Amino acid sequence: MAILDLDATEDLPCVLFDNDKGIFEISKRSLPENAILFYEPLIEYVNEYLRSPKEETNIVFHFDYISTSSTKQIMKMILLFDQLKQNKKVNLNWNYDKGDVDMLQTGKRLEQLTSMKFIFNEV
Amino acid sequence: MQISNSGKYSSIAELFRVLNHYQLNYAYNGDFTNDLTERILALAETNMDVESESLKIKKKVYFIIVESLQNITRHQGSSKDARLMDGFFSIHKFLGGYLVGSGNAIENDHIKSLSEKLDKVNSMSADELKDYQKEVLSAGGFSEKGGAGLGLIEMVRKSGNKLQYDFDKIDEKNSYFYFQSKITDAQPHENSEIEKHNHEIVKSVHKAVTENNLKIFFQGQFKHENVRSLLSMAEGSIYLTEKFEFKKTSVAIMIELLQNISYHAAGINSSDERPGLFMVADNNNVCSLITGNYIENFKIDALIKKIDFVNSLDDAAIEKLYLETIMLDHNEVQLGAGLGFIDIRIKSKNKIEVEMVPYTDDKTFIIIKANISY
Repeated sequence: MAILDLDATEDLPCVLFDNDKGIFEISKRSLPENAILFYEPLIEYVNEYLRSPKEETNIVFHFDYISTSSTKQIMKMILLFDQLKQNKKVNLNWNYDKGDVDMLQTGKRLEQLTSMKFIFNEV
Repeated sequence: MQISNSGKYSSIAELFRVLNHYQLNYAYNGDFTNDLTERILALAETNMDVESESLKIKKKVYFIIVESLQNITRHQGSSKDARLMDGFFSIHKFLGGYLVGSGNAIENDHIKSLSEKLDKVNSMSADELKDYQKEVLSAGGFSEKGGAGLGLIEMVRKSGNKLQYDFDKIDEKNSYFYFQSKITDAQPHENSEIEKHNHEIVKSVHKAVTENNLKIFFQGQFKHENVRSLLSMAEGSIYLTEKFEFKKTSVAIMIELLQNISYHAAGINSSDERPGLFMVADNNNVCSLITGNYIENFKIDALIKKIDFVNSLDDAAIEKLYLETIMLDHNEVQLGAGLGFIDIRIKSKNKIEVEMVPYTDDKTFIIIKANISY
């Protein structure tokens, strides 16, 4: 599968998914008009990756703003990686801007719904 | 309709009714920076696109807005009471055209020369204006102190209407300058409210806006493009950029409120319309983010129940509800799926307020208010 590389727009996030390297990064703003439609191909990409995953998977989320409808889709994606964690190494980095308490809390909430330990980085 | 020009309105619905009377589409009150000016313009432009305005009128309105905003930024005064120095900008859409209003503080010493310039361009016929413009241009009048009023000449020519203005004394040194320019298409619409309240519009709206501590007012179609521009404009207002944490929280809540309208609002004439209202108000360190939209009456009970429930929960219970709701697998036609109000309640740390205004037998105008203390 080719690299999935999307540039950020005013309301869509920057996406870099590379299944060869086991890297999954989403950043900036996620405020799509229709979050389900926007995240569908991303979740499909992750599903595809799970068929032949790397030994180590590195996930980085760093949102400026995320709509609740996007949060729901991100949660879906995280639960897919959570399955992988049973026999592979998975690092999930939840980055947030210095002082962005709301974003830290969103990450903490999502973490509770998984068996993973998120790595929180204030950057 | 009886309109009172003074006083703070007891409800958002009442304030909205008054501003609606002046067919207010968009208003901003506060500091103007170049960055914000660009965002204000972008929103006006997107909004005209969403409204499918003709290119001809769009270009004219755009020009008038640019000139008006320039006047505000150029003349922003400074005084001990910064609030009196706030700039003001408004756009009113009415049958047959637009009205662009602006307000800014000006030193009393400049009133005479400004009035003379305005009166001069207002007194001229179309041909006289054309000649005068040529004369000013060839004389290189740009560099004259205070300018020769080229912008004003162009405004009269482009809008096809005389410029309306007024001054209100602030103190010994400053006055507030009200300015409005009407852009009309060929047909005059005498029955329009704008025609009836000709001279008073920007002043009356400015009064209502400041007395009710409004920072931003927007009324229009909450299509995605407009929501995006509106958000960008609101983000750019100085008022929000001062404190990082407060800004983050307000913008996040704004996102949920605005998306809520674009997902769920009912149309008036057709189902793909999304008419709605957005306001930002600030009272004693509480910022209120307010939206309004139409909703089918049969949906009201469920919505009120949901908001009441979210309001009734303590911190632990609302956290629990958030986690439960995010895991719910809705058939995903409902995009937000109920997480929005929970998120607003958590982030604002205040109860969500609701006001309802009956509209027709089957629709109600519902106003939602989120308050953030800072």
